[in-house]
Amino acid sequence: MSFGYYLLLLAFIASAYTIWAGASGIKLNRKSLIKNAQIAIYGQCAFVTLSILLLAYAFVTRDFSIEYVADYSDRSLPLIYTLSAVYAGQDGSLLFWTWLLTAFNALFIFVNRKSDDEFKPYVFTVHSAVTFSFLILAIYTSNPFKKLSPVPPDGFGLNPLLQNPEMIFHPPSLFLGFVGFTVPFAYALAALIKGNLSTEWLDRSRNWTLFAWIALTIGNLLGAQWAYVELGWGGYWAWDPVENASLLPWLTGTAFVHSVMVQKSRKMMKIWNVVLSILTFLLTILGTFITRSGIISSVHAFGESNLGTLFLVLMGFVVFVSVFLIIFRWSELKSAKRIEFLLSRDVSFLVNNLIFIVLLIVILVGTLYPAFSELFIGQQITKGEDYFNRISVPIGIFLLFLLSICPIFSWRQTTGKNIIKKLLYPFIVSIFFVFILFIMGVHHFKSMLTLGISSLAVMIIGVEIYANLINRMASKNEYFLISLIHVLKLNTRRYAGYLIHIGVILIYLAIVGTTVYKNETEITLQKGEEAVIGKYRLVYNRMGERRNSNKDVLIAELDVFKDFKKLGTVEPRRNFYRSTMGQIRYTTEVAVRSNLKEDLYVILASYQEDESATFVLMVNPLQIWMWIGGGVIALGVFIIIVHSIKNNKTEPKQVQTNSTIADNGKRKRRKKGR
Amino acid sequence: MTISYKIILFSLIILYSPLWSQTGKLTGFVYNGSTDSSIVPNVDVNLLVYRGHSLIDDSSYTKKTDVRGKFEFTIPELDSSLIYYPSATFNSIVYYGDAVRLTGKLTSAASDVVVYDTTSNVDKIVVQLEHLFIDAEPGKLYFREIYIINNLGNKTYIGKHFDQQDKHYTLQFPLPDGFQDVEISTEEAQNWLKINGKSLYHTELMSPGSRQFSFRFAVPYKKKDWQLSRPIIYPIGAINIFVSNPELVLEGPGIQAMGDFGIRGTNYQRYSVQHLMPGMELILSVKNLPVKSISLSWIVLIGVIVLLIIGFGYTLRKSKS
Repeated sequence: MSFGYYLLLLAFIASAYTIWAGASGIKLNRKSLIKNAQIAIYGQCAFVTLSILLLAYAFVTRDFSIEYVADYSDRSLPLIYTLSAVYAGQDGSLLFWTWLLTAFNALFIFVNRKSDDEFKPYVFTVHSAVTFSFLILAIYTSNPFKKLSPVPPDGFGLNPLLQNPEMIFHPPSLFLGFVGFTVPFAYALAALIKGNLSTEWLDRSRNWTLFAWIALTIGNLLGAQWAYVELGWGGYWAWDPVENASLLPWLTGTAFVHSVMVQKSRKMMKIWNVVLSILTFLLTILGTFITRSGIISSVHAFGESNLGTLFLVLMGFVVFVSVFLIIFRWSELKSAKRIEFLLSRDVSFLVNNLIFIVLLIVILVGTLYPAFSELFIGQQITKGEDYFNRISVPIGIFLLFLLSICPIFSWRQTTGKNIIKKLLYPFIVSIFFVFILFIMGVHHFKSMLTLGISSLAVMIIGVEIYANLINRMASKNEYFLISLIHVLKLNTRRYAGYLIHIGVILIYLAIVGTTVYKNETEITLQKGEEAVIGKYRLVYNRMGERRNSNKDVLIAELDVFKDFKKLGTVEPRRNFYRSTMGQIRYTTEVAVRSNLKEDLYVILASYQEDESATFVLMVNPLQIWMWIGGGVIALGVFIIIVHSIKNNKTEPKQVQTNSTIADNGKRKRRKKGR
Repeated sequence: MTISYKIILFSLIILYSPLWSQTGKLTGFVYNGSTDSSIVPNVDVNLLVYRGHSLIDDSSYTKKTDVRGKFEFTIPELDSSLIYYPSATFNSIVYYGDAVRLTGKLTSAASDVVVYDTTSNVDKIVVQLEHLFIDAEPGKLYFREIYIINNLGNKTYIGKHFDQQDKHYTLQFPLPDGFQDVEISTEEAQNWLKINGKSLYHTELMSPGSRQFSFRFAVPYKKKDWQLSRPIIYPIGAINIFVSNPELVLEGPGIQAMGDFGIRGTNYQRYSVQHLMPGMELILSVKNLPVKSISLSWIVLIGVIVLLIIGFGYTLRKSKS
């Protein structure tokens, strides 16, 4: 075994020590043990970091005596993909995950090194227990340093589909999301163990949760973008089990991010928050279980392995401990307050959570259906796109409606008069907007509904900002711009939240455009012939060849015209990847010409010896807004995190202390009562 | 040239033009290769028609050879994508001629079929060359054997019966005790290489000439040394032995080390043993094998679990006191 493997063993010993020292330090109230545990966390991180660096070094130096390196790279692989190959396979991705776990834990104790966070030892101990489990997997079932004999002269190469820029960032982003949700999970368990179920654990874990959520959001969008440009079928989401596996924790994570606000503002939904944080963590593990157990076939799946059993054991253990602790703390988890009025933000958040859970169940059932059908009738029956779309589209539209009207509700109670006041103008404008759309030819009911609700959401946000701005200008006698800056600054979190909502609306618009108004045709052209799609005219010029370091590229060149004006050239390709091991694998590389209105998407479907070629042409309206929407969401979350860090620095204890005192007071009273 | 000559010449061109006669002709003789290539009259000849690797017709064209041992088939419509194989059945054994493809340019062709008498005498069967690849993993040795076998005689070797079974085999390859995971190289070979007891048997009849096939298997071991003793059944010209693990040492009577040898970039230790005759034994001693031991990782796992139990026990006791 190589040195990298021994480093993993050392990290394993260090994680075991952290668990013992952390737990014993808490139990015996010995600060020295807690301090030692923290040093051991740095040790874990250092050992796993060195280990993954050694694996990367083995890839760069083409050390094919390591089986994993031989399986996922070859001599012709460019450096950037050689490095991304570290997490291209099962063993490497598990090591990468483990490394992120240790890095997050080390970062957690570093960031909180001067903090008086009473949850800290609990959190890093739980976190280390998760790391401990992953190290068991990395060492005993998925060792990436396994030797290969005899040593082959070259590797088998990286799957050409993974040789794509999106694939460099998509897996790390997803893993950041998965690992990031370990922190709120650890806080939830810490709160349950400690019996402090005030909002403190939510405040402390807030930024970690938001970071995990945005990483998972970006990871999913990057995956969609990869599918769009690399798989060459013109779509970006196919409800594949592995895609669903990363969507499931996103759904509960999104519900959790919203639900936190209710507990913070109304001291309700304690049980929801604890369960959602645990569920999100469990779903990150379930996703990995689905992809690695071989229970469900998928284009992405890593294939059958005994890893699935170990993940199942880990999930079982987490469920057992969590359920035990929830039952143990049941009385403290009951909310101090109850929902008093139906027309309130409290209810809209509760409905929001319920909708997310319904969507989760629908997708989970659809994803696991093949496994259950095999179990009961001995045959894998897969639920197709139709099943998922039929249920998720109306739920999605309802969620958009909730998103749009939520800002008009106040906590506890909103009067009907107030609702009418806030809703009237946006509603009238939205109806007018839908009417205009209808005249312009948008007759698809669900599209009109989505676009109408989207306009309602934007109008409600706009009207709120405008009202605040007018009030401020009148009361302070300020200029428009200065007032606007003050208004936005005073409500940074709220408006950053709205910015995230606008990002989501942009994604909805892209979904409507690309699914309902997509234009597609397939045509075979001889050189010099032309094809027309939408307002585009494409003239097929020639078929050329190019030789790169690791591939031969066949390029079809088409001139693109619109309204008799040449816009440029598109070059759909077919890449033939060479490998010294004798295999030739190819990928179809689409050509995409984007603008704010639509994407022109050209696929080289096939070609003949006489240089005639068959093309699939598509016009995907509003596609680019999906990626812009992702960017807007990221910006919104970034603003919230920066604002939160800044606020914590200026007033570090105010928020936490108030809530802690309040809740501690209640706990003491309850204890006295008993 | 007079007009009448021109008419005759034109008629001849028309008459013999392949453009007008798109039928084809396949002829050939059936010879007996066991008796100085004497012709074989009155045997059934069948024409097999293939498109690519698929047999599309095996019954439309059937003839018997005439007194001169000749057969002739007329193909009514030519198709250049079709391949024709004449096959003759002699002593209940089917023999094949060479492949023929008929096109608009080549409307007639010849393909002879050579048939043989049969024999159950194994004397002419020899192993011309054997390549033996050895690869060791802790606890398991992997063998891959490639055989080039020759029937040096002029009769088809029909083999022997399996003990108390109504099945024939032509070649026997004894496998070492404890063999497992036998893999036969091609799907086609899986039809005629069968395991029975402790041997692998070749069940196809052996007409004169050579053939090649390969298979692999594994043998578990426990100690650092392991020995293969295999009886020699057929004369063997030479065995090349390739060992991938550089630390392994191979010894045995007649075995010579030939230095390192690279195959497709992979380095092997090469050994050779030559001229083995039936009645002899091939003895291979493989030394310095990697032995399976309790790995460090399992020692660490057990150690960590034990220490955690002791540690938490200590903590609980301490907290109570």
